[in-house]
Amino acid sequence: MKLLTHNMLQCHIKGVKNGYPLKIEAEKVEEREQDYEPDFLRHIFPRINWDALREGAAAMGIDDLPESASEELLEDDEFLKKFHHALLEVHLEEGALVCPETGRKFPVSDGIPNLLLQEDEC
Amino acid sequence: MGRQQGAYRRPSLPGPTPHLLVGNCGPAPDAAAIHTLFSQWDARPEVTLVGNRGLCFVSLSDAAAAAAARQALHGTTQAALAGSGPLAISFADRRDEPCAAQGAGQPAEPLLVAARSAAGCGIPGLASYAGFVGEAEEAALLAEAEAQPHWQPLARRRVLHFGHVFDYETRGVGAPLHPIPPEARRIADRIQKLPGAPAIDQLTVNEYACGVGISPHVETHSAFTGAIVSLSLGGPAAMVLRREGHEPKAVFLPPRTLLVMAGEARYAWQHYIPHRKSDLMAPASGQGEPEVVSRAERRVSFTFRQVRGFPCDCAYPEHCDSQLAPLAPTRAALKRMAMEQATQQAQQQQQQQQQQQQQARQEQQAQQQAQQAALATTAAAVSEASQGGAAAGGDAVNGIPHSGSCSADDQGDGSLHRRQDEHQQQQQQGEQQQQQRPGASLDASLAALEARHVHAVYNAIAPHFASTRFAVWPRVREFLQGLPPWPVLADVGCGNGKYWGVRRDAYVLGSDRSEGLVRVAARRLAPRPLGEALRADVAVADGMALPYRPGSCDGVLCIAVLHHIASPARRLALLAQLLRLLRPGGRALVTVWATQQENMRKVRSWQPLELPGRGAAEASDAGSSSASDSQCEGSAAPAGAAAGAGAAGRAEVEAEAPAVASGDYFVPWHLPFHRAEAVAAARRACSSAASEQQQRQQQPDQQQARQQDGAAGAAPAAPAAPTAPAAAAAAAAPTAPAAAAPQVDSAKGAVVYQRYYHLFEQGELDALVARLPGAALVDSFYDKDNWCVVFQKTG
Repeated sequence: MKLLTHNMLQCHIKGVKNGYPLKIEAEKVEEREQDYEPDFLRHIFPRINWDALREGAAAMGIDDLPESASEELLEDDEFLKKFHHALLEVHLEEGALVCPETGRKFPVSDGIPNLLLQEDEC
Repeated sequence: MGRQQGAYRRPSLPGPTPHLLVGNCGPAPDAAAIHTLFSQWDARPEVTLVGNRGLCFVSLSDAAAAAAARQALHGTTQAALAGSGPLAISFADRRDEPCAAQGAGQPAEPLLVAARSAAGCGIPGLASYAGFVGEAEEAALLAEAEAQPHWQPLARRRVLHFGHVFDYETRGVGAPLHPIPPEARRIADRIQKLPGAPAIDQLTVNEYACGVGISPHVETHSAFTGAIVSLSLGGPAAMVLRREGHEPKAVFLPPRTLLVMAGEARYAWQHYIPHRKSDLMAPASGQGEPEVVSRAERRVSFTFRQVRGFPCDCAYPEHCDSQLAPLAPTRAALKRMAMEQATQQAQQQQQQQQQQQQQARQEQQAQQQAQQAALATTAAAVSEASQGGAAAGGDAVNGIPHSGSCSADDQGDGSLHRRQDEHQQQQQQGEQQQQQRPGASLDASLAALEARHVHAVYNAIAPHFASTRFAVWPRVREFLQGLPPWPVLADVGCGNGKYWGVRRDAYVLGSDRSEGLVRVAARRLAPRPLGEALRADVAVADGMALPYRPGSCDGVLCIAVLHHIASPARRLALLAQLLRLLRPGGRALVTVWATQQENMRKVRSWQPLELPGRGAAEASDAGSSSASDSQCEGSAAPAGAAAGAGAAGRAEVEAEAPAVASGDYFVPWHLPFHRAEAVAAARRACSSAASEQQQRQQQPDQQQARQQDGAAGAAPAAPAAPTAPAAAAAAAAPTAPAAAAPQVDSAKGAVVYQRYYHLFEQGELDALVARLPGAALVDSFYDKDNWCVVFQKTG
């Protein structure tokens, strides 16, 4: 699971108000190369919740993202490469996603998060 | 041992086939005598008697043997066959195999001239070493094997396994067992000195009688790694190697020859030994007539291998079971299934009786337990109450109220009553809550139907299903191409993820309810040596509860998912989930199966369903705004004109065609026996049949009624029809087990799963979208058996 996906995920248990972002418990993280595409990064940037990305990246051992980011930084190649790496190249292989409100854990195995709910959660 | 007479037909092309129709073999043909007669040409002829008409079919190993037998016997009178006249013998074809001369995939057995060494075949990775062991070593190896107590008989040969057992049914290696014995280990150590040899930890010894061979196969990729090394002892044989698109090759294996198959020869070429009693060997000089070499009384092969222990990732995925290539049937699996079915039928009556007895006993026990429990509860409550009393009154011993302490007793009784009151109140509240939500239990039962007949089925058939889904529908491509540049796309019910590559600029959030399919889809994300990695991810998630931020997507795909949802309210809830993902202006494409199919015969063969509470669901759907509230947020649909129109539309349809008014069906999925996952499926079919039997007994009246329904509604051709209503009944019960029960259909060579489908009438999907607040219908069309809509998020 990539951090870009993590940025889009939120806890969907019925009644949960504050289900974003999911906390990452990383047991195994892998890095895999992805083609660097600045245009993609510029387009996706406005969709990204920066704090959630930074928090997720920190949980995966990536700590070189700036505290805040703005549109101007998108012309900075060095920034884009860090952004690209964190967003697409760091994979959570084993671990869990944890709802910040309820503490409910969603397991991640072989890079696949399982977000199925129990009957009483939906 | 013979087949059914209907298994044969007249050959469609002239020329020899391996099968013979033998006429005039006497008023009461003697199968044993015929078997003996034809065994001159094949070690194991297959004899099938045809009534008492003096006819039989005989199948031999190949067309050449059959031609020889016919030439020798046609027109002769055989004393061994009592009352026979001059035999009239002609060739026949078997229905279950392509015509020998016709099937391009299965050409008639080539009588190949075998090269004298592996080098003569020119197959990369194939090598042979003549005289790898001496005669004394050969004798020692054979004696050592002969002395082993654990020979295992197979259909046409016997085998010994060392190091690890090999399971012919699953094509897998099992737990470690007997170590490789000393003589063989010595040879294994010598083999390991060869360049590229594997670290041998498994040995299989095969003993073949004269004329017996082995069917074409590739050593299972997932079971063994590296080269396969085989030592031929006893007698000679020619081994044939074949690969699609390549000329087949044969290599002659004199006794004491070591054959090494590595690389392409091991992973991509099938090898086999034809069933026949002699082979053709290339002349030593390379010129002139090939030499005919008779096989000896027996040939013993020692196959040395290294157990893999991890999935194979060779460069030949089309032959690789680790990479989801379909595997040829394992005879062991088929045989086992047939036996299990027979045994099961035989045991059914016995089970019935036992279950009835057991049930009676259980009921008795349950009654007793209930009585005891009631007593215990009362006792505990009394004791608790009295302790409370003791604390208050200070006068009780060992929890038994002291008769002298009135105040304590009173208080104790009082608190006991309060407890009961509270309990009753809670119960009543519970009942009231249930009464307030009449849809809740119905909803649960529909969800259970989906669980058993959608989720569980797709998990069981995932690799096979995924392997049949690769075509990109043009209209889906068109929709995807219409999305803005660099889109974020949710693919809800993504299956194997076949649409992810259509927009290379997209970021795809794939999800599916079936973990099995998600695992197949995830393979698309694996790093590839060639080509760009997809910008996509996949998660296991339910479309009815999608775990994404609202407004996160420019586009949503939901292909062939909605028709698996079992009520209008639930279908609307799913659409609301899709809408929720879209940003304003974002678009979703939803496709479902239509009642109008190009092949209506197919539809008539499906099992129509009458779901419980359907009328109620429709009524509450049309009349109430909150039918789907329990399912998801944001789906509260005010009942508008459109809803009324939808209901009216359905009513008209019902009047026209009452038989299929509900549109609910079980649609079979045939999992062919040759699929690796069919073995487990067949096992489940057998075991679940027993538990269903039990359910039937527990609900005899309902069952009978449903069977009658089923008989009235089912098309006569539907093979699995008799059991489908039972499955539906079980699924509809909220207490039903979570797994769907497949059936073994031996005639079709498949394990049959029933998938729940709701087929959509014209306009039904549009009407559903019309009831979705915040959605505007953009396009609606029919495309190859499907109704499709595109809707946009307004605002």
